[in-house]
Amino acid sequence: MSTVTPLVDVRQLVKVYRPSPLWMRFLLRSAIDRPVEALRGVSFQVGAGDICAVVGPNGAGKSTLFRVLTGLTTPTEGSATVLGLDVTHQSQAVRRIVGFVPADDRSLYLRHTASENLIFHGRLQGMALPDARSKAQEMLELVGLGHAAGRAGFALSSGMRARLQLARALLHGPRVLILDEPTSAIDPVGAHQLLSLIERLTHEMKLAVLLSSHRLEEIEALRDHVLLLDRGELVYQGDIESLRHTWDAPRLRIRFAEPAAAVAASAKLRAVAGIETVDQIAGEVTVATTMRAGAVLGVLNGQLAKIESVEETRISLRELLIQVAGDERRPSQGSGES
Amino acid sequence: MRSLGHAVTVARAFTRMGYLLEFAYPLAFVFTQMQALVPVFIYFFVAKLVNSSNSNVGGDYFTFVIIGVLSIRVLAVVQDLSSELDSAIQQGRLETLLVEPLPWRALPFALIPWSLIVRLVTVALLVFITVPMGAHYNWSGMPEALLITLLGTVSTLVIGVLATSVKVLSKRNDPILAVYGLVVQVLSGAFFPLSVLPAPLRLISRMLPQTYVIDANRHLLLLHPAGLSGATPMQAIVVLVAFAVVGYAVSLWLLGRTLDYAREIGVLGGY
Repeated sequence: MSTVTPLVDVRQLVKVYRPSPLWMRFLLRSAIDRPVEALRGVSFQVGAGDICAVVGPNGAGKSTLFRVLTGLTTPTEGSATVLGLDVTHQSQAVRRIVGFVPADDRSLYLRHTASENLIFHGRLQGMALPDARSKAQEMLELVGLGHAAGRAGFALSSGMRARLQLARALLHGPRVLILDEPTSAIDPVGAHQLLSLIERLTHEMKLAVLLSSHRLEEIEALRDHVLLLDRGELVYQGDIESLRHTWDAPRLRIRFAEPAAAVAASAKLRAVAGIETVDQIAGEVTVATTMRAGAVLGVLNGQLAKIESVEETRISLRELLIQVAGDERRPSQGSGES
Repeated sequence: MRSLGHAVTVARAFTRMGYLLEFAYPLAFVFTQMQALVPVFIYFFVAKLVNSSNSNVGGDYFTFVIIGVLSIRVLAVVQDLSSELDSAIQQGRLETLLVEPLPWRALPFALIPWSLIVRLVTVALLVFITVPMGAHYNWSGMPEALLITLLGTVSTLVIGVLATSVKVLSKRNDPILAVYGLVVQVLSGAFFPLSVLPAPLRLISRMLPQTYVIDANRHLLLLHPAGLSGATPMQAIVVLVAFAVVGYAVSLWLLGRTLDYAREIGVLGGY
């Protein structure tokens, strides 16, 4: 990542959740009955102007990572700093320079207007009332909600609420923005608009952005940096192109005129060294290989006349991430640049 | 000094939100305030059965009990703190509040000013409503009574801070505050003189800040306080200040430790 001066610097971060001690279970019932390693030696950096997409299945450690960075929980081992401030011991100072957009839009006062929501948070930041008012209007304009300043939260669409939460997170001029699944409740068009806005603001305001999403097409569209977490471990960090370059074996989809030809072809292909996988369904054979298309077709020399079409495809990002996360041979701490 | 200014700004922000929220549901607000009339009417009729000539009720049981009821009504603001925290937890707003650069230990104080204002206004209205019903107040004692009530509120908030420490971990402390509320109702002397209680219970009564506020307010507001037992206003001030000093030292330390522990085990801001 382009981290000349990293705004977020996470080193060997470990977080272990432990069940509450027996003596205090009358007060606090643990949701777990054995220690759970939520983060296992995670290290990465995010610089100004970078958007870092944090992806991974449920339970991968994304929310724990965000909670550590916002000071809501403390690391068990390792360190995390924001602009050089330690998130454990300088939590209040860190919270002055971090903006957070939670996944849940219930965090808004839905009975209050968009403007009142922002004024309230401006006041919590220590702004005088007139300053909070003008800043609130400025932020509403920035996220395209200037016309909705007087509308109550409950009267806003999901997309508008997400924008309002973004405005709230930007109100105090943070250097780091953390967004926990900001598009989860929004339709695809609204999600695209929100992400475009985030991209624009990131570059204009030189923010360091950490964003989690389950919508992989969005991650791909950002074309920036990806942190892939799986069971608390950082299994990849880098850009998506590097990820593809390292892990993506090109796919060759060959359609035959009849299934019997496909069966025969797949038997031949499976015997060839250099071909990773061969999948055959009816008259279609899909081959994963680093061999050139011509070399693959050369193997099928006697059956070329039965081929209807040949298509080179790329693995979807979803499959790619599953492949990386599930591969036992992957190097720890990712394979991309840092 | 700067952090004190920030804390005041935060308290004003919550007060403004409380005000806006209250008047977003005007009918609910009116009916909630009308509920405050219920005990006034109950004790208006009960007073007709009680021998008011007894000197340990100041010769006027209705005024005696109304002063007790209204005093604990203001001091019950500690229950509102619990409700505010509950709604922030249940509605998912607590996490967003906690990621703001607030001193977390100031939150209990920031959450209650609006409730306190509402309670004081309600009590002021009830004072005037009870006059035509037969209550007789020493009006010259009102300013001191107000000051002692506010001092009592500050002292009682110690319990609120302790309850917040429990809530940070358990997420619900209603049973604790409910038990405390019941103890206050029975043992603070709001409805009867403490002299009618057995000695061991009187000992517990003397541990409650509410008891001192009620005692002091009766000394200040009853027309004939000569026969009253209990703390005088000056004694009450000394006890309430001591309670606040010791109580805040302990409760804020405990809240700090609890917040640290909640961060460590990852339950801060959770449900």
